[in-house]
Amino acid sequence: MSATKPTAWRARRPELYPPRGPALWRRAALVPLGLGLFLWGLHALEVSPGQIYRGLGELGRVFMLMMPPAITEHVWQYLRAIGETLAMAFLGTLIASLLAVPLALMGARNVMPLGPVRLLVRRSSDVVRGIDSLVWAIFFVSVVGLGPFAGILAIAVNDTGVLTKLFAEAMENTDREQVKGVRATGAGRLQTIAFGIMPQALPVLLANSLYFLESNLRSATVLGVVGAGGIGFYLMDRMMISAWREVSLIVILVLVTVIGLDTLSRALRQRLIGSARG
Amino acid sequence: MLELRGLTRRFGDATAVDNLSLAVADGEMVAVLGRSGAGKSTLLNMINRLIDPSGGEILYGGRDIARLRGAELLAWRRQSAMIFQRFNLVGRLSVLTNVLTGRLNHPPRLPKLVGLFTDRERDIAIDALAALGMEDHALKRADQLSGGQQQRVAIARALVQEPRIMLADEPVASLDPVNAQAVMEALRRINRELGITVLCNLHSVPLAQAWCDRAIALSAGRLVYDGPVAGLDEPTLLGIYGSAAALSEAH
Amino acid sequence: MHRTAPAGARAAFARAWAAQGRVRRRQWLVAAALLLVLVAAAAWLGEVDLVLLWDRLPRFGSYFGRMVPDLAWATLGEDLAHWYWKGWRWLAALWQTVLIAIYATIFGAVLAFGASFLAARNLTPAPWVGMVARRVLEVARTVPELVFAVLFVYAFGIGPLAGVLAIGLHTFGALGKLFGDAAENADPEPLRGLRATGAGWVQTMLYGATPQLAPDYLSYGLLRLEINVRAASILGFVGAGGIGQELYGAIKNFDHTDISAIALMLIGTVMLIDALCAWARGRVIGQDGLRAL
Repeated sequence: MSATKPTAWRARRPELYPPRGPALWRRAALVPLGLGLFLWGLHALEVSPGQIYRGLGELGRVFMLMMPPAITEHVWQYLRAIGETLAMAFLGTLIASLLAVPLALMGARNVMPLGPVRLLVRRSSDVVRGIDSLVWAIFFVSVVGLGPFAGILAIAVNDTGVLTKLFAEAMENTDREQVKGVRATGAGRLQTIAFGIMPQALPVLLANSLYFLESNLRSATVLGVVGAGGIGFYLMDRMMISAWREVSLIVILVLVTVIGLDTLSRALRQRLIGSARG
Repeated sequence: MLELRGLTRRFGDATAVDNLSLAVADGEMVAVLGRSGAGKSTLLNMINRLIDPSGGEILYGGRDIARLRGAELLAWRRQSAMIFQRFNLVGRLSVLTNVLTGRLNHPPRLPKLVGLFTDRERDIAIDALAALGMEDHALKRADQLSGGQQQRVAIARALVQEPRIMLADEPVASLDPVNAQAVMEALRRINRELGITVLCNLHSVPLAQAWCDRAIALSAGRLVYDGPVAGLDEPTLLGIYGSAAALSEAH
Repeated sequence: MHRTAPAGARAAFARAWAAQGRVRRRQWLVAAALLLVLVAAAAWLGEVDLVLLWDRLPRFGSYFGRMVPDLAWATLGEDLAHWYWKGWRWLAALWQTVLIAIYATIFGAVLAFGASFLAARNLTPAPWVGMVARRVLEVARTVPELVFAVLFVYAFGIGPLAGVLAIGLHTFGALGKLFGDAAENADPEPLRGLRATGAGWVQTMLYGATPQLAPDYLSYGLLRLEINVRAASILGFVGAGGIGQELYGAIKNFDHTDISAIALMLIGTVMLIDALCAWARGRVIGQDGLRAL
């Protein structure tokens, strides 16, 4: 019971101690190796300390120029553009949700028995998802012209890909016993889906849609960069002409809108999940 | 000597420990008895300062422990080791690392932030594990051990702190009788051989009588008994526990 | 053995049932009307024009048609080489995109790791610190990456550094929130055990909280890496490095086969990274625990 008298444990139980000799060097060599790899990556990214130093100074200067935010006569324009942005996110998500339900049914293992159809739906949703909504926006601007309609279509298409995958997973995660129970009553295939799978999956689907409404509002704020409507156009434009005090006003408006919608959607989501559990 | 003067802790309207005064000499082994909710746990947590007192003094070595802050407070916690009912080990760390965490407040401190302990500290930690018969489990994950084994690791962690006082909060309440005896025996040996003062919350009167010299008893946060364990006769115990039913649970 | 309820009770039940049905129907009607109004307002604000869309539908086909390269079996090698005429340059840009995503994820995750302990209500050293940390994280994840990117391109110059910083900052906000939420579920008992030994706040976080949370944090970090590869692929639009710059150029110059070539490479890379991350996440979750320190 002597806690202070050191004993010769190292000789008897070397595995409880850090290695010595070559083994120690091998382990210690990992530190410069990792550091080297990290620095090599930074070099590949053309990062230099001078650039960081100068950039931080410049950033500080811009930040000072942003203060205080300027409330000009443009504010009504901005508010309308934010309304447009909200409309883009809302309609885009709504269309995507409506399209994703039948697609997800075709992609869910417990609904669609045909493997090739499932594979086709899943893989094409992967492809659609892999292309950012900003790229879709450029495409749709060239189809329907400048304006928020192109943004709506971009969000709708990109999100159809995302939501199809998520919805299909939600349907596959439904409780099999309940589905069996419905089938045992003599329900046909469509009835089993309608009364066995959908009631369980629906709250999850709605919660996912709401979550992506939040996420799409963030995407919608930048679609204006490529001419697809919304506040992004003004944000970019004011940055280009270095109207920093208006930039900060727009950023604040965006922050308030996004946080407001997040709060609303979180409350709705919690009610949905609550009703699904309760 | 550890001396409490008018020590009080209130939680809202409830008073967990009520104007408690007593002295414990160095090297004593004291059982703290009382029904659950009598304030035993609060008392021990206050001495270690995991819970701040609402009033009163905790005197040790001429200092008021109740007023320590910052680095001095951390140094005090190192000197007053705690043992918990639920062991409170970090389950995903190895047994050896769990014991080494008892050295976190010993210099050198900086290398420990990246997981480097000196060989001497490993010596001390393995010594402590060996003293409790746990050295063969040193590289196992703590949550892979049984309750009795985990509590022995926790005692080893307390030992490597090189404490002056050991505060054991229901150390055997989650253990089977065999492991309970082994843990109580370890505490007694720590007390006898290292001269460390031990305060031990116990729910069982026979355990207190078997392993401790002195007992104090709390009821609704007040001191209702302080004397040798031999003095715990039936009427006294009935006074402590309030009813025969509560008392029979403590046997 | 069937006992029939008295007629009065039955009538009362029927009335209550009908009343409840009416209330529910009214609620549904209100909700549907609200949705309809919202859709109408959004369609007006969003300048939805279905006739236009119908008119322009043929353009979809021709747009995609022009993106398909001329490939023939006889001259396949040559045709492919022609299609991917800037293949090496695109590959380099793609590699830069992946590097941007990796460095941004590391940068954001390291900051988020520290911030999560400050932000979690059960771990924070002081309530006001937690409040400030949560607000900072909220702002960092609310501002879109592209906005940060434009700002950083202005400050740090055109190039991948602006991209790393922009995605990193957004990642800091997003991961900090996820990490913080995970940390709020940490088991308090080991933390108490450590504090009782005299360990300071930093030590308690490193030895008590980190081992518990590491699997969650790693899993979230890998998910974020997947998202960041997608984000990094478009930052080039505003001059923040990577394949986006090439893609934007191709789109602006109507180089249709270039667009499809780059898009295919990009989709392949994204799928590859997704698969790698999914595999790594499976290992993190499947593994019983991290090797003890």
